[in-house]
Amino acid sequence: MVPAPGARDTTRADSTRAASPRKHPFRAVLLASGVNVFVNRIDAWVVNAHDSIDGYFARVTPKSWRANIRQGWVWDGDNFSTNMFLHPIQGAGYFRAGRANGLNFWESTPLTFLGSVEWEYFGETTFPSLNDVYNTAFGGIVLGEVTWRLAPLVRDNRARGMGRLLRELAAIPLDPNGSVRRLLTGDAWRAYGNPRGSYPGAFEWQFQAGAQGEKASGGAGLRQGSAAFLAEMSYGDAFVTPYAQPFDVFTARLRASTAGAYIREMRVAGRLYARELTDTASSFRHVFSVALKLEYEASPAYKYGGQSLNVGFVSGFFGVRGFDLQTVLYAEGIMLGAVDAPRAGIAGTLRTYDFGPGAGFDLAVKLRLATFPVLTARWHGAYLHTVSGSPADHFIQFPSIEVRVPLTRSFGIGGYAGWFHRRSTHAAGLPAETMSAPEVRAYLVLNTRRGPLPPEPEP
Amino acid sequence: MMATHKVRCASAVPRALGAAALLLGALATGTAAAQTPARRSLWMDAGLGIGYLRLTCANCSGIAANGAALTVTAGGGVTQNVLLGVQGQQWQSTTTGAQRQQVRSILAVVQWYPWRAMRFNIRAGTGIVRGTVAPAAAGAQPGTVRGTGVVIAFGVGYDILLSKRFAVAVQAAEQIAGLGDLTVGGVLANDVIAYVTRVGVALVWR
Repeated sequence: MVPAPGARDTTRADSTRAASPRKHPFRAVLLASGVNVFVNRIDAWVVNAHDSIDGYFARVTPKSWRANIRQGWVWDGDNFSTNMFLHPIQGAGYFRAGRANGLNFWESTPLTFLGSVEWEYFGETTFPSLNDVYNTAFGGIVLGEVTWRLAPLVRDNRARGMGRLLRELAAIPLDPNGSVRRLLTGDAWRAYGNPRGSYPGAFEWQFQAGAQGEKASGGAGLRQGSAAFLAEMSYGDAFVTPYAQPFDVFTARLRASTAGAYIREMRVAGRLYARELTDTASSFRHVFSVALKLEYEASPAYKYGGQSLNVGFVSGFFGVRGFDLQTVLYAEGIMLGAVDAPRAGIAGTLRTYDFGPGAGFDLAVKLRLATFPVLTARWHGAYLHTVSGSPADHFIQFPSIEVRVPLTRSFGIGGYAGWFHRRSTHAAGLPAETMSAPEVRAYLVLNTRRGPLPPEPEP
Repeated sequence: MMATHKVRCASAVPRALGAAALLLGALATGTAAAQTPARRSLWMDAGLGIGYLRLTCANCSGIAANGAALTVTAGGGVTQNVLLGVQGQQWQSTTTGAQRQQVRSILAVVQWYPWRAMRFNIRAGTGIVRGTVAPAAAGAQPGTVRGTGVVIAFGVGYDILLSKRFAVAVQAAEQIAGLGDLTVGGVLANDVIAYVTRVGVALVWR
């Protein structure tokens, strides 16, 4: 449930595994390089990775390294999912290399840049790509910290048998380095206490399964239907979890569908800094917040993604006739965004979208009845100035609304309606171009929320 | 687009970076008698250095220019090992007249001291850049053009403590700026990327 005004959790969110972990920066750099060697050799030896444009890009040699160093940086021609989805996942490995070696959040951030630059020069035969550094480094920070914090919540060191095995297996994608270490040290099957302070003070999961209708790619007015699945998570709560460290509060949303690209949406945002502006006992609370966001939207009709730094306010209005209202108002600085358009991208490559920095806003309202979110409305706007692709300025708006009706305490039905709109103005006197893509979904929803835990007994 | 033109690194830059690396190495192995520097308070540095600009684009031949760079950074410490700040940098070519080139940037930076007791540091950041540059697009008349885009920066430094609050830092850094497609001399230069390599000395206060 939404916390009572002034509620404070006694457990502090802290993803460090020990009270004062020893820092091993040199080992962290080596492990980040190890991630690169591992991924490169998997690509070269196991997957035999190649594409129609770059060929067998993982078969690196000293000659390819020399060519990359001599050439310098370019904007690459890779497809949307490779650049905007896979690169952040690889970046998360560099970030966790720091966290696993005792470095804190900020100390681990340079590793994503170092790991990415090393990969660009030495991990692929293709020329080093500027957009890859952005997506790997900033996306890696976001996904790296999120997965680092989730892994200890999935694992349970006190569990035994099949339950223990399943938990250890489920944690592998979140923290592969840690899973290998646990396997080698025997921690994966040894029964001992869980790390204290892993629980963020509040935790909410939501699962949706249903049908969606949307605009198909290419044709005007064409519609297509598919099955859609969504998982959304809130780790911590802006009004329960006092700010202590970056990402002690974050939200993550992942949507998949049976049509087109399987992963359709990934949106992860974690707060970097927060300051309460009101009395914590008040029914109306406002928190100034700075957040880092990774966004990926890949519909058949449009593609949009990017890394942004958000600055704004999270406000809560509690206990009005059983309803709680939370609003979010953010201004966005988009470090590097990507959007597709008819003239966008680079001819002769897999890239059909432009890259550019920009600015935007993100407004959201969430209304809860007891613990159940009954209404969510969001309006996201962005402006991107192309630095690679067609010389253009893109203006994007994405309003959406979701309504859910609770049938039990945690189960209900719901509906979603969203509308993506893009307007692109081009240099060189070309006419402006617009595109709209409505999207609807109907679904069953399961929502669970866990509030503050009672204080843990001292071991 | 994979740029296919060939650009040769001028030998001056590797030499300068090599000299800086040697200097940093010598300092790193030198006296360690100084106290641990304060890194939790406000932080500012201002530095001057020599800078070298290299321009590439998909349909250009490589072009390079020497110049001077001024860098000012201000921020604060978030941990004993990490500083966050905002960095402004201006690089200007030594050439005068119509061919004078200039690259200005403003970035959010993170500076990391991997070893708490040591003064070696790594700086990385990103931000916005505005450049007046002269890309040599095939078939274009020589000239300069202004572009705005994104910049990413990497660098290393070493602080030589003068007191608890003041230090002199030796810094080497590279900025990679994507300026987009620019029309110069009637020809479109595709995907212009400007590299500003800087070696300099800064006065640090914290």
